Amino acid sequence: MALTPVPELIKEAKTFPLLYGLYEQLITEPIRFDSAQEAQAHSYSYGIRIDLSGRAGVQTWTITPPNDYHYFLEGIRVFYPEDTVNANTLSIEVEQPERGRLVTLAQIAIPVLTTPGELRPKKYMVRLNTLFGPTMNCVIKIRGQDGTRPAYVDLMSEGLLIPAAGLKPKGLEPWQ
Amino acid sequence: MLNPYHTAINVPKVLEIQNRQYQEAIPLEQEVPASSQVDAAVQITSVGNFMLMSMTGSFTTKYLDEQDPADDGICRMFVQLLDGSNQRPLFDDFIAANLFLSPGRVRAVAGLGDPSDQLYLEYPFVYTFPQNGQILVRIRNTATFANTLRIMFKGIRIFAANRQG
Repeated sequence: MALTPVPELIKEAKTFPLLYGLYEQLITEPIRFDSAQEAQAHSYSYGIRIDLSGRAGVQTWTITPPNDYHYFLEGIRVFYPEDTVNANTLSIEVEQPERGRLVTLAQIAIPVLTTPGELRPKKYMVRLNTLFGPTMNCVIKIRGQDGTRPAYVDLMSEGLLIPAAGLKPKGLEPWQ
Repeated sequence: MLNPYHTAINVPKVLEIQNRQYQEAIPLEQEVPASSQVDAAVQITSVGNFMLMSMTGSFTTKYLDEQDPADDGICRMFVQLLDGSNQRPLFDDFIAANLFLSPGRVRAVAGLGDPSDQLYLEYPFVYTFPQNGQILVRIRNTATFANTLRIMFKGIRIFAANRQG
């Protein structure tokens, strides 16, 4: 009999109390500098500007946390100038290949309005709240509806870099 | 009239905590010449450690259109944030300033270009800088004209003398 797969969100929820605990300590108690250093979990961001002008097909950006660190990806910030004269749609897909299959964590459609001559920056935030293990890849794909794109897309990750040794309850990897 | 805050807040306790730590905002302003990169830094000083909680800021978007300065709103300022005390990078690479700074773009030439259209949201970023350290901001300006970057680091100052272990 085939096992019923556990929804990904339930697996990942196990890691939340640890992270919430960190924040709760910072908020409700006087901050203890030494303990903050001991935890050594801190914000960390990845970023890239992808040139899209005149290109067709999918552009890919890969984030790989360093060895011995987890990366709790809170979200992806997306920014692009509205400088195209044709209506178009961009989509952002975030995947974790190491889970055995490509899991699409987010897929959003970003409308590009048609206002030639005016540059109006658009800013979006894709909330993910997903934990990546050491050397796990977070693959972000920028997919356009057709070959007409904005000139560029800026991408930036919001997240926490967490020492792997600090997140192994009962011998399990945090995402297990 | 009952003032709920009067009973909810333990003033002596708050003052006691405040004598060990309090909110502080540290500003940084740096002009970067055309097509160049500079390191800007703010000193944490010996007063105490500084736990950064969030950032706001702005930048200009000037460039040289043939011989004339112009302002088209495209961000050409890229930033890498580092802990100056140990050179630990906090941004993996240079990140466009329009992604983490609000209100973001400000007009440098009156009447040209759109306003920033940015929401005034702080960029949350939690990191503790030790006393006598520095917040190191590596700024790269790819424009053909000088641009200015301003960042406000908002956080909590933790007195070194009163820190708890």
